[in-house]
Amino acid sequence: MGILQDIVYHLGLGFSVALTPTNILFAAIGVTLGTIIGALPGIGSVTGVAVLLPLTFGMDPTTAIIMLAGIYYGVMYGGTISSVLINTPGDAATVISAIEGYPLAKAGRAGPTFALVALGSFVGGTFGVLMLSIAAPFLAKTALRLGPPEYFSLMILAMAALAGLAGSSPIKGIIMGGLGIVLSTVGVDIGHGVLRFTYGNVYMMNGIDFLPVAIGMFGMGEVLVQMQRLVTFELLKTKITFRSLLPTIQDWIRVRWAIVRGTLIGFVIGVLPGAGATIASFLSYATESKLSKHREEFGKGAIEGIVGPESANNAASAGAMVPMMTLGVPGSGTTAVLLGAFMMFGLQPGPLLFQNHPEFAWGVIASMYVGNMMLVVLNTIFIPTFVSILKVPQTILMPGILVLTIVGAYSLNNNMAEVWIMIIFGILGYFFKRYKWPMAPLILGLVLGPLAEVNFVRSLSMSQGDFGIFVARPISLALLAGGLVSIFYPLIKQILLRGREKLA
Amino acid sequence: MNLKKGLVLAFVVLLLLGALAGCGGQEAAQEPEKAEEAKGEEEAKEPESKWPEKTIEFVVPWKAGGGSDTMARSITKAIKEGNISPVPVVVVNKPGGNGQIGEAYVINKKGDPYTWMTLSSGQISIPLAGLGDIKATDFTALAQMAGDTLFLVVPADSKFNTLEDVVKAAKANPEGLKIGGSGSGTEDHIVTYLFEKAAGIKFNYIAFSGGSEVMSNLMGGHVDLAWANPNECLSQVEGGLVEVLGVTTEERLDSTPDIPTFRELGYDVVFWQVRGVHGPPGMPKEAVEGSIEILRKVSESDTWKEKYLEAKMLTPRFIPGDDYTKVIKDNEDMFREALGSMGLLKE
Repeated sequence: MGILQDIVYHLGLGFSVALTPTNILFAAIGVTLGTIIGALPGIGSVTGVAVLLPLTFGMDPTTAIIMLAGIYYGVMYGGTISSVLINTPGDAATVISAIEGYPLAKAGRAGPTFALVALGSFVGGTFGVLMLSIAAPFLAKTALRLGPPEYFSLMILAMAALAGLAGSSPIKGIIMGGLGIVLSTVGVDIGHGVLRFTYGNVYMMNGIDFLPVAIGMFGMGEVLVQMQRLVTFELLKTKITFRSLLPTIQDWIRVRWAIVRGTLIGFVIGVLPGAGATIASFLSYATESKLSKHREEFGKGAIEGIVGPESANNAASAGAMVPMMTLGVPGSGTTAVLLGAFMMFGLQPGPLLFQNHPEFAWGVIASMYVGNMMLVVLNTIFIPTFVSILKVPQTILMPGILVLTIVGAYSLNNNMAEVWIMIIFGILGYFFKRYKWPMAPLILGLVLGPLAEVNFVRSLSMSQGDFGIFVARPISLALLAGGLVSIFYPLIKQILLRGREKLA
Repeated sequence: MNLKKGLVLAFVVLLLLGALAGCGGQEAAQEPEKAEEAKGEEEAKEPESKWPEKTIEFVVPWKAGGGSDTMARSITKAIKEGNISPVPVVVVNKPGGNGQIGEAYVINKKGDPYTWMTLSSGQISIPLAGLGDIKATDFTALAQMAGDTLFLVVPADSKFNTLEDVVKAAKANPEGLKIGGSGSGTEDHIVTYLFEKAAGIKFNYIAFSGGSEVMSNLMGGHVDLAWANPNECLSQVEGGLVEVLGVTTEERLDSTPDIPTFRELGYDVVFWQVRGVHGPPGMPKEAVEGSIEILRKVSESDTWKEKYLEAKMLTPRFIPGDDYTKVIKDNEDMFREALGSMGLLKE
């Protein structure tokens, strides 16, 4: 009873701070900016928060952090828009959304997709904040128990679960995944500080970032394909009616479990200091592709394949606030910048934050409930506007997308190197698409490969070369077992089905 | 038709927004160019003029939001608030290639009086570890602005309560204690070596990608000990999650008088991380002197002391000109010796 009263009391305090007119206004500014930043390819939440941080100097610390946090989770909503409409991921955590979202848009279902994504994001974000309010310290401490061996096993689980994504040809999928892992080895190796495959080029030293690769393959690749075929979108022919923008009852039913699963996966992964929203969205996608009743639709526009990951990345962005606020350990690039902002205002995130500055800590948390509410409204009322972009004639839209992809790639580091990477992968993307080589595994290899490698090396240096470390630790063992089950899931399912048939 | 027009308009607006956002990041990058034009005009009018007369471009060879970026932006903030410089100082991030991309940019501005660059200790060790060709000593040293130090930290429930406990356990079990730090061949790695040498012990050094990862692995018990900058671990220390066994300064820090130094406990480990400002090679004398004057005023301003040094738990250390050149040189020699002994020197 004491605990519950505590929470109610603290949330009451929080809302009394969050609901002042100034704070409501700045939460609204934050989430709106976040949505715009998210929708623009290239500029993600890290850059967005870092660039806008100086604007908050001189503001009241609570108001400033409310705005900056609003940008952070606003990006998770906004990133979907460009992924779905122009096949160009707006933010790292929404890369996976392009895979199902774009085919859905082509089929004239962008409206319902946005509505369901907004709902899923709201559920994910709100659940995340709820958990942040009631169980943050406990969750953060539990998350710390995962060390390098567990992260390695988690990456193996993710790769195994995603191996099924290859679609029609598993061999092609494995080759592309391997290619992604090979590309990810370019640059400085963190374990030993050795340069690999840079050929003396300084631009290669930080490795190949997956974002320009994704922008190139999905965004620019699609433009090249469209240029050749000049296929018109279905939506161009159909009239936009209010009804066509709304999801059907079947849609609601179809995605409800995807939202629940995505929310849970997203929050858990978000709390881990070594994972984050991007990994969370991948894992949710893998889960949906395994558990969906419409597995054959994956890659061609399965709505649960976008609603799940979008719920996950919003839940993860709330989850990432848990270790940052309670332990002072940021779990992602954006929370690291936010942590810097806290300190600039003289607030030490960590165990004492809730004790020393309760109005601040709870004010920010309460504002996240408010912000999520605003986002779901914002993202619903503007659906017709978003969708109408598809009505722009191809001859104008395609060059426009091309410009966006180039500006986006450049803005990652203010550097031409990323633009060249984007263009090279754009051209490759065209051929991949033409000859039906799946691109998702390449991206996954590029993201998961380095995390798997670095944690593998760390684990072995911890155990002084003993491979037993991966199975001797229970959490790691469980994750590896999950990976095995996931690989053999189709086989197991078949055996079970056959057994049942025989019985019948 | 009307609908179509509206849609085209909506799309154009979106594009414009995109262009604007793209420029947001580069805003800083463009101003110096404008200034360059302005300079051209002025030079024509008045050949012998006094420094400074145009915008100073302050290059940060790392990403926005990081430690060097924060320092640069705090300097420009102090300049703006105190009205310290007659010309604007504009921060430009040129990240990538372990700082080498931004450094190459500054090297190419040889003799330019209007370029500054941030330098942190990592930029001294990176070329020595074979990760780049540009050395810290290639630049004109203007001033050290602050010093950062390292704490040796353990989890609160650790069996080690003093450095003595650590040394004893390490002697009993060579390479058995896991010590976490950021990166390989970096300051954390080098200070591990200094401690090993001073105490005649050997650790198992585990390299992580950054300070926060080090702290979460320490608190999770995945390493026994770890190195952390004061501002990386202070909130955890105050919250009772970790304890500090020693600090690598000559004398105890004013801000943490209870934490003993390695030296007073009998281990000669002294290590300062440098944070400073440099100019391109061959920077003209009047520009060097003028820049040092501006930076000195920054270091004396309240904004700088309160909003930067105190907030980041850094030690005030203003060392200008030739003395700073010597600091960099000494650091480089010390790093070279350490990396050589560690087998990591790849100059």
